[in-house]
Amino acid sequence: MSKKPLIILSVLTLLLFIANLFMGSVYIPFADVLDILIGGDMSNKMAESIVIQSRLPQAITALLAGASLAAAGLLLQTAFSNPLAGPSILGITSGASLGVAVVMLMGGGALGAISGSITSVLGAFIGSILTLGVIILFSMVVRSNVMLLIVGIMVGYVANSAITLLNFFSSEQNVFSYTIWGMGDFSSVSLTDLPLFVIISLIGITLSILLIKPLNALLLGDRYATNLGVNIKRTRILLLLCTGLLTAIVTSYCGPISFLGLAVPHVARLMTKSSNHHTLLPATLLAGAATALLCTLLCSMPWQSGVLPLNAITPIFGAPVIIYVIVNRSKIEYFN
Amino acid sequence: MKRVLIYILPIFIFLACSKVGDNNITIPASNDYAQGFAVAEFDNYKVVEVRNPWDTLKILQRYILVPKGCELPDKIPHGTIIRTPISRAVVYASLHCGMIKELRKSEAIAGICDVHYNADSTLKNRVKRGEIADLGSSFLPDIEKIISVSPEIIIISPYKDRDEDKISQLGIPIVEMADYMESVPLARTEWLKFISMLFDCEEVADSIFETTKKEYLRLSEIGRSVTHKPTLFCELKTGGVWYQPGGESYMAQLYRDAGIDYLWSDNSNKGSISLSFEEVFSRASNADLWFIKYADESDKTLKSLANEYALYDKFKPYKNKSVWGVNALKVPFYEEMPLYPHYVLRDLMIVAHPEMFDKSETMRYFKKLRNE
Repeated sequence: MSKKPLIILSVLTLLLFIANLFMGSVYIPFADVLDILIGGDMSNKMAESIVIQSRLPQAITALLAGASLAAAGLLLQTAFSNPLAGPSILGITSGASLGVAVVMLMGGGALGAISGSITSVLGAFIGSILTLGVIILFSMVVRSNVMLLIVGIMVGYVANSAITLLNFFSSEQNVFSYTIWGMGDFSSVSLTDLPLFVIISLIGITLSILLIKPLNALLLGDRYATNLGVNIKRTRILLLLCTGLLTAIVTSYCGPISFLGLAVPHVARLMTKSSNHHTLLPATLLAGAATALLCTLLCSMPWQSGVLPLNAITPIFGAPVIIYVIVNRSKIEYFN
Repeated sequence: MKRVLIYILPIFIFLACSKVGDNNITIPASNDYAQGFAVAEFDNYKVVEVRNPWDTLKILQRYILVPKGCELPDKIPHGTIIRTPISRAVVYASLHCGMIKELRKSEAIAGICDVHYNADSTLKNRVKRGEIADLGSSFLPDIEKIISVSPEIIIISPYKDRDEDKISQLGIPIVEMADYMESVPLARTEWLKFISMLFDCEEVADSIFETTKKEYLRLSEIGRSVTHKPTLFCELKTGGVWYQPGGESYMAQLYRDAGIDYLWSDNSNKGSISLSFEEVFSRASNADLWFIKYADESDKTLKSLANEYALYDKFKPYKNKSVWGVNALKVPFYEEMPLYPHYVLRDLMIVAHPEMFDKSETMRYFKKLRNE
């Protein structure tokens, strides 16, 4: 088991994290940023606010959100033995979107429903946890993983139909805010919200690391796993809870981020050439963080005016990876 | 292949030419401010051309307005014939309902869209009583209901590339009011003249326009000549984007006329510009004023701003408590602004230059944000 990919990914993540602090849509001299970061005396209050209160929380959010979504994707792909499973497919993202839609569109602004505000975060969280509950309930009745996946997709459709209805009957401005929320954004976690975001996503990530052993057992198939002493039913519920938590927290704060959760585990597999979760999960976490940081960086490059929405960038990385995987499916040894 | 081309090509050229000919502008600009339409008067009919806001060399529609009593003239230009005065009209936008109301012709409204967002309570009551038909959303109106109220015209706001095929097939003339595309305040007001021709009440429209124009020009002359102009930035961040009005937009013109130094007035955009937080912050952190337009059930406060996004409190106007808001759910800002831009201008000037006004003067739309 080679450690090389992990080292490369760690260095890459670190570099991208630093780049996110030094680069943005407004030019701040390198030396100034350095001064601010080491806590030197800064006369430039404006630059300090930008670096400490805007760039730093955004970089931390991207780091953790990328890692969380990628981990959720990996967990689901293993659990369902399906390379095209991802956080958005179980309906959890749609549930979160429905929660936000209810707050933003039905509240008609009554709840102070601006994207990123605490009410919409709460709405998204409740929405995703509720859909997760529905999926877990079904998982107790439905034995087959494929069927459960289909149930997830159906739940997503139902949520989307409610969203369409809400959109249709709301005012232009509310539809607009909702659309912007749907484009994804790592900048909406402020320095004050950051601790909560960090804690919950770290709980989710820790839980996923604790699941490495049963995940490896699941790769051998349900029967082998049972023989190895893994309680399939309990593992499945734990897996769903873990992915649900990871997806819910990220989607609540950052909106539905497309493709990261789906594509990054494949990049990790290609890099590590392994399906052992002891290597694969750390690689996925790091690759997710690095990808999210890279996308954030590309969204606010100084040569363009303004910022680009996140979901305009993520598919550019995600889609080619998925296509590569589909084309070379027979060559890549995935689930054993 | 070549032979086929020789036969087919002329047909295409003919089709292309005839199409172009129909859409060409034939009437020179005749208005004080409005660029979007032009009027030509003839013996017993008028021709109104509405220009295409997205291709200013073309027209969207040519209307031939013929009074109901008169016979159709033999030689009239190609266009949509409308018999005036109109007594039954379907009106999509609440803004145009407002215009018709100002012309005292509300009784001619037979059906409206988006009732829920119409601020006019008398109109809403008439919908409840069944006197006016509720046609649903303006993006997907109920065609059958439109037919059932048998309107003489349908007044709509044209959107770029929106397909109006379905309603245009009804054979009912569609009046395309592209007033919202004008970026000069008085130009939007002038569109009232076009609507008034449909209802045969030009004098009312003229008098409203002249009053507005006089007052607007009086105020803007004072505003433009002041020496100290406070700096301004606007609105709030939506997701990762912060939209500011473009330097040539409607709002930017109002700010300029009010003697305000709008920080993005060097920009040449007529719509809005999308910026990042960093860009807005680096240019506007030391601004004097901050205007926010929103639509919430409860008024925004400084505290609620900070709850939305923690970095809002880093701006100078926030610290100095010079953040001003317009809550469009509480005041008829968007409804009145097109017809009475001088009301808005006056509010802006009271905020920017309080020394020029009496202390007892109250504002119509703007409110200073309270602490909580």
